[in-house]
Amino acid sequence: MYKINKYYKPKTISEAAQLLQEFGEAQIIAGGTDSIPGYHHSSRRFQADTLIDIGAIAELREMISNDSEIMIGAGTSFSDLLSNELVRKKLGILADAVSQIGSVQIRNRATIGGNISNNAPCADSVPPLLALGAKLELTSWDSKRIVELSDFLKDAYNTDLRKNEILTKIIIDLSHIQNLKGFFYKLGRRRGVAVSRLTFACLYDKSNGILHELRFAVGAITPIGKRFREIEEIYQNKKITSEMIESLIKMLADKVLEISGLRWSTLYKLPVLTENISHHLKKHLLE
Amino acid sequence: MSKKKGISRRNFIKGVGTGVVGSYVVVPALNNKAAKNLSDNEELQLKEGWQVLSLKVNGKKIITKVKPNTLLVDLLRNELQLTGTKVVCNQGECGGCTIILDGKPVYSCQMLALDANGKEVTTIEGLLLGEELHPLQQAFVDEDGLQCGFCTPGQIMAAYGLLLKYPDPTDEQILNGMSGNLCRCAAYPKIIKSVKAAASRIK
Repeated sequence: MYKINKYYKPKTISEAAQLLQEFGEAQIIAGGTDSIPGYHHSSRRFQADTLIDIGAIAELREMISNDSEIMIGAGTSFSDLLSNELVRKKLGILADAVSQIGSVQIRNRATIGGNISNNAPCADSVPPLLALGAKLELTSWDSKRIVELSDFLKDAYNTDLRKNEILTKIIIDLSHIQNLKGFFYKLGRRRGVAVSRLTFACLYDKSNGILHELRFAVGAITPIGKRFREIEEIYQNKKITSEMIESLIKMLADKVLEISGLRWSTLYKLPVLTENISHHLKKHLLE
Repeated sequence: MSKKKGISRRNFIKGVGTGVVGSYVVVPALNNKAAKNLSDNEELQLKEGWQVLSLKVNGKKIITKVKPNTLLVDLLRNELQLTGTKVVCNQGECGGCTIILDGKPVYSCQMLALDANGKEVTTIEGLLLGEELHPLQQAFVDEDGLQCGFCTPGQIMAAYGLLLKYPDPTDEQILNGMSGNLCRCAAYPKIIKSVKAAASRIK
């Protein structure tokens, strides 16, 4: 069985951060939906024999909001996130993505902070959070820092989280997204408990046939969730036409191919990517 | 988990009494013992980091000791002999180990036993009303909601969790709520039918 032989369940963030500082090599666990199977498969990422369970820390499940921002406690379970009206109203694409994660049983345990810090290529909450421009609060025993989510995610299963840090908050600035509409699309092999093959989160602002702002991020088809700011910028303030959407998709497909490289599955995935995203973009932007 | 350890659950509970204070009394008692002569078993337990765990299972207060790496499902099946809960995929995909934790369905193979400390667990055994089947169980029998029956305890617990949240579920809520449970015999249409029948009976 797993090599875990020490288990701590602190009640406050500062207590958890001190334990983490003390042990250095401890593994943080919240819902356990990634880490327990990780230990079970003897994954190289889960070798620490000390667990610090942050699941009992009430501060980590708080949601604080004002007119300009929403701060989500990293220990908030997906179920709690979904039942929050503010999230459903203001962060629609995140709610859409979260509602399709795993199953009820998984959503009751899995946390948004865990999904981010595990940084799987197929983490469903990541593309919408990237499009929303989320920032993260990282807390250690003696300091706090705020980083952009896009900077935090390094490569697959690897983040900028230091050994003595805990991801404590996800911060979303509302002032820049008030006027944005959006959608989230997920393709899996089945509907329930499906590992994503392709996710696409999109936010836009359009009027009178002009695309004023566009943001989008993909998951599962790149090594980690990725937002394409350079493509977004090209299409800012452009007239919306079918041709324009097709050239955007072409540019995105080339970029994905450049990042992920040619694989055995590319022959299938690339047309699926272009067809699906083009269908959804046209549906939302041309109507 | 071995049943040969020094303190059996039953003796342990007898010794400590079933009060909430039990878990707090024992920890210092264990540490004191470390200074004194320990039996081999006790020394091993100390080395392996055994901790006292107190939780409610099917309405009964349980106080026991577990290794930190014990999964909740292993505690239920091996220690408490509640073998209705099944381990199938053991990685949180199939739903065979579904139990109700503080009113919500969860996979018990995906969480540590110690994580359930102070919480309330309901397993398929807890649905029985004496000798009588729970309306959900009866509905699965009446509607033939199973073939081999191995996934059924998990299916019923998922349905139980669903009905706790939505006593009168729509078709979509049923599909969504039951999507975390696989059935290799593909008895899905009748599983859905059973859940619907149970919902209308309970109502």
